[in-house]
Amino acid sequence: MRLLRAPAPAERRRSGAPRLGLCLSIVLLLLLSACGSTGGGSGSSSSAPGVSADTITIGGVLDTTGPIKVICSPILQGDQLYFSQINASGGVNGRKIKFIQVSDNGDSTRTRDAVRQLVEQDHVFAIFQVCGSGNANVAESYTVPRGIPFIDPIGGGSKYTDQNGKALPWVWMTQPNYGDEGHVIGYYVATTLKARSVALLYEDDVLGLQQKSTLSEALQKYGSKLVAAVGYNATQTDFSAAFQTLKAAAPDLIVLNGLPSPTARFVATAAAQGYRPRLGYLANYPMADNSWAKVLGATGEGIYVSGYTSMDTPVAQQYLQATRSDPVFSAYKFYGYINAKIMVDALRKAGSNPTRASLRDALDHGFVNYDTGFGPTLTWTPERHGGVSDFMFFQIKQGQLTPVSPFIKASAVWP
Amino acid sequence: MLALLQILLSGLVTGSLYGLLALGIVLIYRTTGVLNFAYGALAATVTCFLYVLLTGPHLPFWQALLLSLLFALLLGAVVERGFARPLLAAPILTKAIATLALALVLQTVVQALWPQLTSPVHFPTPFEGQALRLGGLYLSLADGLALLTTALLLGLLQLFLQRTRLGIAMRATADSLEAARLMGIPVGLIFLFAWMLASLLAAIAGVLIAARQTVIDVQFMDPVLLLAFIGAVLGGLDRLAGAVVGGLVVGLADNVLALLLAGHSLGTLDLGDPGIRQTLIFAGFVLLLLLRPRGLFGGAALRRV
Repeated sequence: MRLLRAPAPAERRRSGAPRLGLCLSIVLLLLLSACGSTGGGSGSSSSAPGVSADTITIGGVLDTTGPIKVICSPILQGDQLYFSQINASGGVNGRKIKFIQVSDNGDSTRTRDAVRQLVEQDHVFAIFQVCGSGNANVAESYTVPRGIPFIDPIGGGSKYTDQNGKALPWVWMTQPNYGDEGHVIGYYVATTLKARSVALLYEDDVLGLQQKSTLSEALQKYGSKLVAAVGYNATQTDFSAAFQTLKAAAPDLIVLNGLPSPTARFVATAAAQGYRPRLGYLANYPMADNSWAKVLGATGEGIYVSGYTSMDTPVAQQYLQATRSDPVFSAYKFYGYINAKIMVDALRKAGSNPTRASLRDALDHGFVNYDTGFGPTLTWTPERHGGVSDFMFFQIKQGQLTPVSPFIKASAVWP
Repeated sequence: MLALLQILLSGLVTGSLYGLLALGIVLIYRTTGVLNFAYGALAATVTCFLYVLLTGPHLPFWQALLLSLLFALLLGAVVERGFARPLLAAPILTKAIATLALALVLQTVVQALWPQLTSPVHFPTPFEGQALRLGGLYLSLADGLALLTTALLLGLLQLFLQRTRLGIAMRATADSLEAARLMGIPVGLIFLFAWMLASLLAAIAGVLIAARQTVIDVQFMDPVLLLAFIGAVLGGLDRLAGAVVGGLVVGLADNVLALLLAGHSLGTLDLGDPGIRQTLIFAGFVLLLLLRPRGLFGGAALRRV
C-alpha cells in the first residue's frame, strides 16, 4: 500500500480542502511542538534534565495503538495508577512524578524517534519502560551511549548485557528473561507434569528461538525431549499446518510461547479438530493474564501458564484494593503498578536532588535482595542488571489463573 | 499422508475464505472501478457489531447474525452514498487511496463505539467445538460452513449476474458506464446495489473467519485482506470464479508450504520460518504476474471511462 505514488499535480490542484487540511495540520504540529518544548523545560531548578523544583519528568514508550497494545495499554494504566497514588501522597522527596508516554505503534522502527522525542523535546530525566523486547533493544542503542537511565525494558528478550555478558551500564531489567523461563518450564513439565515428549509453538524471532534452545536443554537434562517445534509470526492467522506438524510428533504436552492472540488461535485450531495433547498446554508468561483465559473460552480450561507474580503480598493486596471496581484482574496492569513502585523507590534512593548519576548509584547499590512486592526478590549490582528469575505456575480453572506451584528459581534448576 | 490430506482440507477452507473476500473485491472493482482496501475493515465492522449483539444484549446467534447482515447492507449503502459516489469521477488511484482512509475511519469508529474490541476477545458461535469426522480427517463445523457458503455464494452470484435483469445491468455497467447510461440503466442504483452486495459478502466472510479463529479484535481482518487481494489479482480481477480460484491457490500454497517446509533448513536458513514461507508465496505471486500480467484467468485489458 505504501507503494502507491503521490497524487499527480493536476489532482492536487483540484483538491482545495486537503490543502487547507494540510495547512491546519502544520499549524497544529507547530503549536504542539511549541507546547512540548515549553512543558519540558519549565521551572527546572536542577542541573539534571527533567528535574524541577516540584516535578520529576520521566518517559516511556508503550504501544497503545498497535499489535502489542493488548499488553502495553494495561501496563500503562498500572503505571498511572501507582504514580497518581504517589503524587496524591506528596510525591517523591517533595516532587510530583510526571510520566510522559508515547506510542510507537508496537513498531520497533519507530521506537528510536519516540525515545528521541522523550529525551530531546520532553527532556525526561530517565526512560521508564519501553514495551516489546525488540523495541527496548532499539531504545537502548539510543539511551546507553548518552548515559540516560533506562529502567524496565519490557520483554523477556530485552538486552541488559553486552556481547561479553557484562551488564550494560544504563539499563536495569525487572522482568525475567525467556532463557531462564525456558529452563524452568523444561524442569517443571519434565519433573512435575511428567511429560516425556514436548512440542513447542514459538514466536519466530530471537526471543522465541532463545526459549526454544533453553527449553530443549532443560528437557534433556530432566529426562524429557523436545520432539517438534514450529515458529509463527505475529500476524499469522492460519495455524492448520503448525498444528498438523506438532500433532504428528505426538507430544505429551505443547508449550506455547510468545503472544496471546496467535497462541489462542492455535489452541482454537487444534480444538476445532478435536485435538488436545495428553497433558494439555503450557503457555509462557506473556499469557499470564485472565484476559487470555477469557479469550480462549472453554478450550482454555486446564491449560498451565508460567508467571512470576504472586498476589499473596501486601503490595498486591494494595493493588487489588485500588482496582476493586475493575471488572477483571489484569496481570499486565498489575505489572505496571509494581514496576512503577520500583521506579519510585529508585527515585527516592537517588536522593533529594537527583541526578542521572545518583539514580544510577541508587539502582546499582540500593537494590540488593530488594523486595519487589510481587513475590520474588531483585538484586542489582554494577555487574548484574538482570531481572527476577523466579517463576511459578498457574492453571486455568473456571476461566481464572489459579496458582499450582511455589516459586522455582532458575538458578536452582540450571546452575 | 493423513496429515497432508488434512492440510489440503484446511488449505481449501482457508483458500475459500480468501476467495469469498476476493469475490467482493472483484465485484466492486468490476462494477465501480474501486480497488477497495477498506474491504477488510467493512468485514471487521460488521463482525464486531455481531459480537456486540451476542455479548451485550445476548441475542440468540441466528437472530444477531440476521441483524448484522442487515447492518452490512445498510453500511454498504451508507459507504456508497457518503464515500464512493462523491469519488466516482476520481482517478482509480485516488479512489484506492481514499479506501485506505475509509478503513482507518471505520476502525476508529469501531474502537470508539466498542473499546473492548481494541483487545482480542473470544468470538462465540454455536459451531464452536463441533466437528465432522471423515475417516481420519476432521472438518470443524465452522470450516464446513465456510466451504459450503463460498460454493453456494459463488453459484448464486453467477446465476444472478447471468440470469437476472439486475445482474445483466450490473455487467453492462461494468463493461461500459457510458453505454449503460445511454441504454437507460440507472447506474446510480447499480453502484448502490454493488456496494450493498459486496458489503454483505464481506460480512459473511468476516463472520466465517471469526468463527474459525474464535478470536477477534477490530483489526483482525488486516492480515487476511492482503492474502485475499493476492487471490483476487491472481484470479485476474475481472472474473468472480477466478477470484475464488485465486483465493484457493493462495490458501493451499500457504498451508502446504508450511507443512512441507517445517523442520527443514538450507544451510543456516530455517525453511520453516513463517517469514521464509511468506517470501516464497510473494515471490511466486510476482513471478506469476511477470508471466501472466493479468493473472491466471484475466481477460483483455479493461477500459475505464
